[in-house]
Amino acid sequence: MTERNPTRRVVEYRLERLFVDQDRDLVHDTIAAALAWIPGRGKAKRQQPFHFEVEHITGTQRARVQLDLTWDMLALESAVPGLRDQVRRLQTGRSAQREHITELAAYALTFVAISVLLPGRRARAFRKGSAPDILFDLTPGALRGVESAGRSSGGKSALLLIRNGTAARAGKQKVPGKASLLADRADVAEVHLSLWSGAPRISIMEQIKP
Amino acid sequence: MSTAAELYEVNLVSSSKLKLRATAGLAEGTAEAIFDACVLFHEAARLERRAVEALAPCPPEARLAGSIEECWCLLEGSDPDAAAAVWSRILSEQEDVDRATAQAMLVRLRPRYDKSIKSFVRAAQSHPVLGQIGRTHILIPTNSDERRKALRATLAVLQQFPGVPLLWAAASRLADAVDNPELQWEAIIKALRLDPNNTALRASSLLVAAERLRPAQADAYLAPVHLTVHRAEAEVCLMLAFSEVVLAERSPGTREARWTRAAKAVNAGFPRAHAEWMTKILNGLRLFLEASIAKRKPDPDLLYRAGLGRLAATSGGKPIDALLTEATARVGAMYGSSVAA
Repeated sequence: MTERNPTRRVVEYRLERLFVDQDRDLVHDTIAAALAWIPGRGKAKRQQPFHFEVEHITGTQRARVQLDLTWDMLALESAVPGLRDQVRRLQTGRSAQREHITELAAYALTFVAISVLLPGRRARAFRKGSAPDILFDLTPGALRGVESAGRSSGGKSALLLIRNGTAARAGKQKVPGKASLLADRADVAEVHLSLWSGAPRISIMEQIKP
Repeated sequence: MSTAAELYEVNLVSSSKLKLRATAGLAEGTAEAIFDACVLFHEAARLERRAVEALAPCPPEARLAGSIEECWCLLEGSDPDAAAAVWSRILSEQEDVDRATAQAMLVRLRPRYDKSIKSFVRAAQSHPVLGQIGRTHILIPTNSDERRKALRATLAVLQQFPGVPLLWAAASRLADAVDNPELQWEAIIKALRLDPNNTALRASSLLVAAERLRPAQADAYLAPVHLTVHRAEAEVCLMLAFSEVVLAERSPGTREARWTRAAKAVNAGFPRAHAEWMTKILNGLRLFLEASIAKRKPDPDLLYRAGLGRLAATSGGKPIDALLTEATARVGAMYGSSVAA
């Protein structure tokens, strides 16, 4: 991981670093989906590095980070045997389920965001039934973690819909935003939102609490 | 010695890894990968439960979060049947948590649960034969066409919900009824992979192995159970003993050794027999084995002497066959109660 520009922060991150920065057992099963999802469908886009524009919000401070993501397939394959075939199956397999690929890719990218933007923090556990998805402190009544979500497309407006929710419309109920739901949680001491759009490659990382 | 907090965390961390691996299986999307994912989600659900149970006293939010995660895992593992049991617990646990927190915690689960239950009910109701089984509690129809229809319907629901162990168990019994031994074995093993702590399923799988696999394969399946029979549940002892009796019939050269092993399993079962029917069937089997080992013809009044007069009066045929049929039905009827436990 290197920083090139102090004014507009550019961060290069090699995906194989995740096996050092985070718990390798948690990272392991997200890598294939990340590799299948990040390049997108258009051939022209399939070239490293993959740039993500990340808006990092903590309190009243906003910072822009260009995340340049690269990987070495050989190095990744030594950590995840059979990775190349897995990626191929996810990209071309008739039965592959796109929503779960997006979900896993968002977890992988959230692991990257934790490593880059919350240095020293390590994911310890993961859950699906209630927020936050990724936890670095499991203390009951004082959870600390990151809520993650991904969309294949839609850019910032799609991510803001996840953050803010949608108002009630004819025939449709109001969908509460993740930010307010997390803020309401008495059992969560610290939480961040990590949202990812695949096309365009945009992300929001925001500290919601405290 | 681990503290309660450490045990809590160890279980949650283990569950986390399983959930991620399972989600990767769902992403792959083949029938085999999805079934494997269901198995992993079921294991993760058990770990979530264990985590909460390790933490005593457990704060209400952590208890609710544990149940929500357990329920979610069961839904992801295509088992709305088991998820429904957890849902009723969630409704009572949310009362102990402040309203805003409980609502925020349940916002993801509630719509997912409603949708899953609705489609499960719809899937079952689209097959009238399953409704009939539900109403009459008779799984195996007497008519062979009806049996085939019931099996087809069960498999159709399983295609949509491959994580329901009770449906796999039902498919196994129906496959037996239509003489499809491969499916009978495959289905009971799938049920058992989803619910490995279900004693009745484990016990029944022994008999299916003895009846449907080649003797050498069956022996390989039974061998580890023989090694632990001294601490096995009564149902397992009973069905292990019957398995050896069945195998003794199939491979006459090994009869004496098998009857002796069966007698050992019966003796191990007595102290843990939890119901009168179990003790009586064990008794009947003991009488049969004593006669067989002594090379005597089994007493035709064996069932009466074991206290199974009604069975003796209604069964006809060989007493050992009547005992086996009775034991299979009794243990089969326990699948659901083991799941609920």
